[in-house]
Amino acid sequence: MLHLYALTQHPARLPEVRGLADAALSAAEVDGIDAVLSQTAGNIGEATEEAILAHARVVEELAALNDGVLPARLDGAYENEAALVAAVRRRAPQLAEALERVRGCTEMGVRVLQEPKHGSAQAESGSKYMRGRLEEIRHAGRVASDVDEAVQVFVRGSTKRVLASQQLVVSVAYLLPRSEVDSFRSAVETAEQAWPDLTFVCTGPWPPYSFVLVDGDPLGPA
Amino acid sequence: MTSGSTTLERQVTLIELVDRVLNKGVVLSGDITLSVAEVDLVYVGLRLLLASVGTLESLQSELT
Repeated sequence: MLHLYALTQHPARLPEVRGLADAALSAAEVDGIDAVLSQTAGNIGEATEEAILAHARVVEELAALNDGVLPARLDGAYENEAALVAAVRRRAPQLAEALERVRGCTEMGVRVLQEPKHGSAQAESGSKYMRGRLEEIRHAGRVASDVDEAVQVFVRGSTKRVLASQQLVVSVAYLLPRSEVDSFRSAVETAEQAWPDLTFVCTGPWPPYSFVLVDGDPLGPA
Repeated sequence: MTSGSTTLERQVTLIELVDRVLNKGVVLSGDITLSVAEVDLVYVGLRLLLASVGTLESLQSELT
């Protein structure tokens, strides 16, 4: 069985780290795209902490060494190289396009958090609850727009979730050139100052997990 | 930056890491499914994000 970590342009520069279960990494080339993989004894069965870490570490190292990387989801194993090659070949044009889109870019996450509200769980009536909820969603939308506006000059795409939940107001992933990470962070810090009751948390830089193809459908830029 | 906000950032980062590895990324074949084990979001990923296992262990105590 084979485990897939990421796809990148051929020839891939492979990191020195080992993969799942300490397996060595290798690459299989398909139409100018390299699938970075390792042998596994079988399907990993469950996403253990160890598997998540090993997978994420390989993807991160690959992203540091290669201009464009499409991370693979930790989602199972391939029967053999022929099965993996066939799967890549089926989507090669879309994958090449996605690789081009993320070339030289990285992903940053922004989560906007708030203190959970106490004592507001019991609304007096259904309609009052609905009005309150609507206002929370509008508020979250305004926050999301503010963040977007603050970083728009740096970013090439975004995937956004306006959640308006008890603690998590907004979660956004942005695709931006690697050279803009510091400017991006500063812009988010500045935007945070307009919302004293909220905490803005920047995460990353990440390999562009949120800007790949899933089942043939492009995710972002939004 | 206060130690409180640093801890918050680490926790959020770990949640985001697991979210990305398990829920984002390329899926090439729809016929393979994986049962996701219960993952302790707070602890996962520190080894990836920090330089040494020693740092990891001290952070794990801090987050407990």
